[in-house]
Amino acid sequence: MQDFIRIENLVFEYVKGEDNTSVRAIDDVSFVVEKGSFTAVIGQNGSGKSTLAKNINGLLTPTSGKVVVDGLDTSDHDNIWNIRQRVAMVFQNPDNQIVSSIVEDDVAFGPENLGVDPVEIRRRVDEALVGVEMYDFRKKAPHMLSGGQKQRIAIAGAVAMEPECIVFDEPTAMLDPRGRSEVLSVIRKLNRRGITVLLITHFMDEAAQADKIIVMDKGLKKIEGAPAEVFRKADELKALSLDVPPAVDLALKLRERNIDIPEGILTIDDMVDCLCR
Amino acid sequence: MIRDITLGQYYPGNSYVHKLDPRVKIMATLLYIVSLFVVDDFLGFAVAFVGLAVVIAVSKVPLKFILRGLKPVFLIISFTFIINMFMIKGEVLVSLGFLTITREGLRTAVFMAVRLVLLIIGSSLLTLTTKPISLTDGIEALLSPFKKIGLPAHELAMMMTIALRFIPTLLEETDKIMKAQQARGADFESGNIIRRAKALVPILVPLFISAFRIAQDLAMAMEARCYGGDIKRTRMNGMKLRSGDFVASAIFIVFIGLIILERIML
Repeated sequence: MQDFIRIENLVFEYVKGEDNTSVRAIDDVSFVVEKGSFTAVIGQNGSGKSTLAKNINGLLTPTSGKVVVDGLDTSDHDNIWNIRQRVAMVFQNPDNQIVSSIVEDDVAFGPENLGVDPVEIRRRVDEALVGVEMYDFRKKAPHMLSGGQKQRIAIAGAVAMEPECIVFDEPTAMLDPRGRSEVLSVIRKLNRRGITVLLITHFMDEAAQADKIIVMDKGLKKIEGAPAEVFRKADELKALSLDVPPAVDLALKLRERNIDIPEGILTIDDMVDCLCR
Repeated sequence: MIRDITLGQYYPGNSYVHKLDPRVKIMATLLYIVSLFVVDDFLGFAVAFVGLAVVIAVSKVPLKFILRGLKPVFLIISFTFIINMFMIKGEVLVSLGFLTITREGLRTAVFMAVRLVLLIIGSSLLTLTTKPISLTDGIEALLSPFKKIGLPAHELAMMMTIALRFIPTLLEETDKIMKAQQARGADFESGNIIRRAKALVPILVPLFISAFRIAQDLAMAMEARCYGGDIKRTRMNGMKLRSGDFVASAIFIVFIGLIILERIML
């Protein structure tokens, strides 16, 4: 498959205001994201995963190393708008990323900024809202909606820009379980439709649904691989204060008691299927 | 509770007045206010009043809502009424010790009160029949010719849009901070007014910090969505004048003409 995002030896340092000391948030990280894939980045708070997300669409630019999106280098300022149109972003707090007090106007904000023709904006907004199942709420005020609904509006706002990739920066961290599952099912649907997804999360069951997982710790990339491979290293994850998904944990414990559980069981549904067979 | 607040004093409706282009409504309101200052006798006010009454009837906004707009300015109106009544010299009608009411004073007092009432009702009709967001769009469109002389019309409108959007968010935030402090024994309800005002200071500090945090998040989210100011920006719902807007404008021009004619002729 074709590489869509290429990160080469990325180093990012924050400079603290007062004494000009710099804090290294990302330390020599390299990986690629393939076109149409679903990649999850997991790690503790302060592991640098959000900083990594902001480096991908040029909200932050590398201290050293390179981030290349679809052949465009983020450190070249002339590329910024093209990159942001290709890589949309959804943030953690649903309240702080909605601009307008009418749902459909907010979804239209991105395409309006891109200078898209009004008739085309209308089509994109309607399509995006249908896609996240919020079309019936298009005339409502965002503050009357639930967290999960607001986050789906924010996703529609990203989709309406017709990006090739969407970076989700902990989109479910502030939601209740129902909102989480709504948002996650929308993310998976978008990925099936061909949008490249990069999901930053600290929920292991969300990461288990990805094609590839990248584990970050203190700015370093610790593990990279398919979910089955990554979760096999349960001890290593525990050393980084991370858990494995409940189904994987159960599979490990059953195997310890000599019950034969095949490899590759990652979700509760897989486990139920396997045990009931 | 706090989630159910309505923004501004918009009265939802589907009348002919509600559907008018916001630009037409804003211009009409401004002209109406100016015309109230052109009028110099009660006959002129009668014309202005009839015009206003017709618009109110067409808008289907209940009279109760319209009169509610007068409540906050009732004090100002009574104050100017009393000042005018006693201060203007002329033919004495009643004399109460050192206070005298003159014919001219009484006339001016009533005149000014009528003018103020019409002015307030006229302008509140604009906000009652126009959604805050369309009002913002209208202001942006009307101010855009002044961009050439450096007026940041788009930025002003964007500021208003964001302010409207974040009123409920900041109210929720305030509610949260107050509850958190009450849970730790803060008292906002007892004591005199100075004590209660002092109790609000510990709310304002975290509220400001949180407002700055929200601003930073929002700026980043807007940048991620390619916001770069007014450059090559398009609008989904561009405003377009329809036949109804032209009819309303024509009727309104005739009405303003009548008021001016009344001033010149009588």
